[in-house]
Amino acid sequence: MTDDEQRSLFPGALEMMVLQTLRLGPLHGYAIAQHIRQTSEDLLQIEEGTLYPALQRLLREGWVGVEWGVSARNRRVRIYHITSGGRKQLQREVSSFDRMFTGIRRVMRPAES
Amino acid sequence: MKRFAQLFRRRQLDSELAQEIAAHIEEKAEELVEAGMSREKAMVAARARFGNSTAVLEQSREVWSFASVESLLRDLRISARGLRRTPLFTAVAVATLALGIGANAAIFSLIDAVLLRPLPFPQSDRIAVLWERPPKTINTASLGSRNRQNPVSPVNFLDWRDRTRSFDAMSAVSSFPMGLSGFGEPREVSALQVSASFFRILGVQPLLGRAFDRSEDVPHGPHVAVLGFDLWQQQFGGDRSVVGRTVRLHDEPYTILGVMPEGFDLSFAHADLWVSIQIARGMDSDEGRYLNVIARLKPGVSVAQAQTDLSAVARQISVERPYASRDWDAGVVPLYEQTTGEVSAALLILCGAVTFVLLIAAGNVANLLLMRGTGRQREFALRAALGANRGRIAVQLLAESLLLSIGGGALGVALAFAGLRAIVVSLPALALPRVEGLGVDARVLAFSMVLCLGSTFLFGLVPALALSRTNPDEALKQGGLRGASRGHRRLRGLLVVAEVAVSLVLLVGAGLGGRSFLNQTGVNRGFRTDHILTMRMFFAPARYYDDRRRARYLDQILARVRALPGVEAASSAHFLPMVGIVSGSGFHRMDQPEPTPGTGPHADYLIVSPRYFATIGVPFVAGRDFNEHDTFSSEPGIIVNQAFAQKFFHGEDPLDKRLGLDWNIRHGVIIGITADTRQTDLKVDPQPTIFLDQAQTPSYFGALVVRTTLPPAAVASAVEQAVHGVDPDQAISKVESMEQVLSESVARPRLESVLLCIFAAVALLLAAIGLYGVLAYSVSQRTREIGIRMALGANSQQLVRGIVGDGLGLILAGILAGLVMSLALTRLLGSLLFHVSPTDPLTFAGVCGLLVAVGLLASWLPARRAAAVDPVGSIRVE
Repeated sequence: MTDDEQRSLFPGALEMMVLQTLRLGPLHGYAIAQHIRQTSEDLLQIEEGTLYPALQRLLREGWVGVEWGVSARNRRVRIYHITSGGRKQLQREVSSFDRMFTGIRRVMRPAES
Repeated sequence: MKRFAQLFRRRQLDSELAQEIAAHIEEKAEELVEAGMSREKAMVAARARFGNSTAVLEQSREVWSFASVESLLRDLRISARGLRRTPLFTAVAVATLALGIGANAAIFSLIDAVLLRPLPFPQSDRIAVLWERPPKTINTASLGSRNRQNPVSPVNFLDWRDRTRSFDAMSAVSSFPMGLSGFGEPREVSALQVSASFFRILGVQPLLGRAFDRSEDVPHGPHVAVLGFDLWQQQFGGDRSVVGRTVRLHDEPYTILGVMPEGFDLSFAHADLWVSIQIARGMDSDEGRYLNVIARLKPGVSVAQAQTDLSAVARQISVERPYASRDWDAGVVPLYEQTTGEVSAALLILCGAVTFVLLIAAGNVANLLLMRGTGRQREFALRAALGANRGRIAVQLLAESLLLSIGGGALGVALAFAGLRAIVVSLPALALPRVEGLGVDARVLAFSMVLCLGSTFLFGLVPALALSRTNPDEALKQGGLRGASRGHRRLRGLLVVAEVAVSLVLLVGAGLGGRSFLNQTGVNRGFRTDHILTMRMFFAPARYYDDRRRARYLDQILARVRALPGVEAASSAHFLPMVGIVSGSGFHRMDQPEPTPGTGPHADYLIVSPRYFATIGVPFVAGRDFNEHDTFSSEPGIIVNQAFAQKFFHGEDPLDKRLGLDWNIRHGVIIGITADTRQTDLKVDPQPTIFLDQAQTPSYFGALVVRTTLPPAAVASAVEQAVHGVDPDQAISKVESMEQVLSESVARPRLESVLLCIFAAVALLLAAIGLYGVLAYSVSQRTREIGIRMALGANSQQLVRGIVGDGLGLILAGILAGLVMSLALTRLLGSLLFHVSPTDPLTFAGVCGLLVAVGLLASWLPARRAAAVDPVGSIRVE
């Protein structure tokens, strides 16, 4: 189910990508999904719906803000932007993610050779 | 605050999210249309890409924690509706849980009152009770489990007090009944003679007035008394001006100094009032051991250090006064241990028993939930397909369990309340220490709440996880969905096996306890209990200090009692049998060399009046009873029992042999030998005993034994009047038949084994219901299969055999598991059992037989139903 697929990323990964995306500028939900899909070159096949619970979590933590606006196709949409707390959180996450990734690579290397 | 606001804005949040999701899908679809797709196809693709929008909405909502509370409330509402729709299921589940939780709440409140509550004294962990410990060479078996706790002699107490360094203060405590007069109705009260430091040791200030001071606990000090709260209320109406007034105790004037606050009492030395003990060196009672001693440890001194200190002093005394104290040690027992020691093992066993009952109850309800859930699998599948995730379904099922356990808990607490009432009513006073604090209070309620929550998870989690693991595709495809999945069936079978195993353990425990109790009451006591009236007296030293006067006084009483109509025989003993007390002292055979002081043999001593043995039906083996010719001017006579003759005369004839006695009469001649009787307790074998004549060495204690032709109660008041005819001020306590005395002596073991039996019966019933439920359900689920098999020619006997066989298989597996558990657990009962081994084959066989019988019955009922299936009708059902 949807829950399980999200797990197959890792908890918080989606939120991290959303924050990263919003760093470029305010976007509405569909545009965020678009952007993640395109930049990952379709590697990450997430169900787009899972984006919304993630956005709610970010709102709850105060890492993004939201207001009503109009999309490029002239549709009334909610536009999300990153807050300063969100930027700090992103920095923390990226550095811990880097550390984790380095760690994983070190563990994996012997198996490769 | 933000979340709180969010709760109110929930509708807004929902509609915003819904709009947002709609916009998202529209955007996507528009993009696809621009790429050349048809409008309809684009919408379908966009939705597919988006995923389950209901689930997304639900998950988004749950991000806000208040939303979870809300969904829980919703779940509870839905569950309540569901439970109302299936009243039979609900009733059975709630009743089962009520039994489990109720039993636990009742036993918890017992344990709480007796063991857990702190003693009502400040820093009570610093208070200790001190005992003398007799050397191993002295036979103290009559004291039973307390055989290492010997009262203390006054002179040893004084040495302990003056020479030890570990204690802030030490008080002697001596308890005896006193006649209270001079204020309202004369009545008997329990008086405790104590040192001035007694109140300081316990750390409690008087409510009114003051306690004793050092000038008042010396010999020939003033007569002063401090009242207990209850006595003050009952006898003095709570009158505050009572302080400074004079009352008469044992016919002597005492000045009331103060009143202690409510609840101030020691459970092992209950008192209505306290008077000052006035002991000093050189008193004539130096050598008797009759004092209790309490002490407060100095700050920073451990019990072990105090023990070392006290033992060192005891060693000095052993050297200084070998004739009385050779090799005697002393012991320091913390007050808490003293108060609870004997009962804690039994209470913990009961605690284990009720835990088992709760486990079985939980197993049963888990089974019921599984069955009910299996029938609802389609509903869950549908909900899963509509986007409810596994967690949501599990939570919904847990909500149902929570409602059930709340219902069960409420009913259970009511049950516990009623049960505790019954326990308190059935118990004689002081059979359990501190039981006065017993009741259902906030602590018990809190405990029951925790039990409710705990059992919710215990019985709710397994079914919730098992049932929520529904694969919607499979479940919906499977058409009728009648066959419960194999996994669930195995799980239910396993639960029944566990229930049978646990109830076997309980039944074995109850069986052993019951047999032990029956052995105890059925043991040969050696004396009769029917048609015997008893009452206990203490002869006021102020009036009866003179030995001859005291002896004559009891003679006069007995003469009057014997003359009463309805009285066949009457006599006295200084302590009644079965009340846990007897005297003990040293002696030696005068035809053998006198042993070094303090190293000679030891025996129980009992002071009786003539015809004591005839009155309670103990035959003489040889020689004669005391009679009116045995007086102060004749040589003291001694009667011994067979145990004594065997142990100390090894086949020689003891008659006419002389014994030297460590008693106030220094020697005597053996005039008679009686059959053996049990004295202190049914569990204690008859001990070698020396009987002395009340007329020759009168005790201050005297219990009447009166054999009647009428029921004992019918002559009780006439006997009391006869006593008061000799001395109107004589205090009388505990007017009871010997049967009551006996019954009180086993009140606690009886309560324990009755409770164990009740819990075991409940466990058996629950396990039987569980087995029946599983089989009955499987029959009802397999109606169609059974119908087909019958249509194909299977006869009903084969069917019945098959189903009963299934049940028997579960029972046997349970019995096997239970036997293993029992063999491991009954070892713990060992020391509590009387004349029955923890692996008693009869009990084990009986319990297994019982379980098989109950199991057969529980399987036969559903099997019969299966045999009655109408093949045609059953196949048409679907």
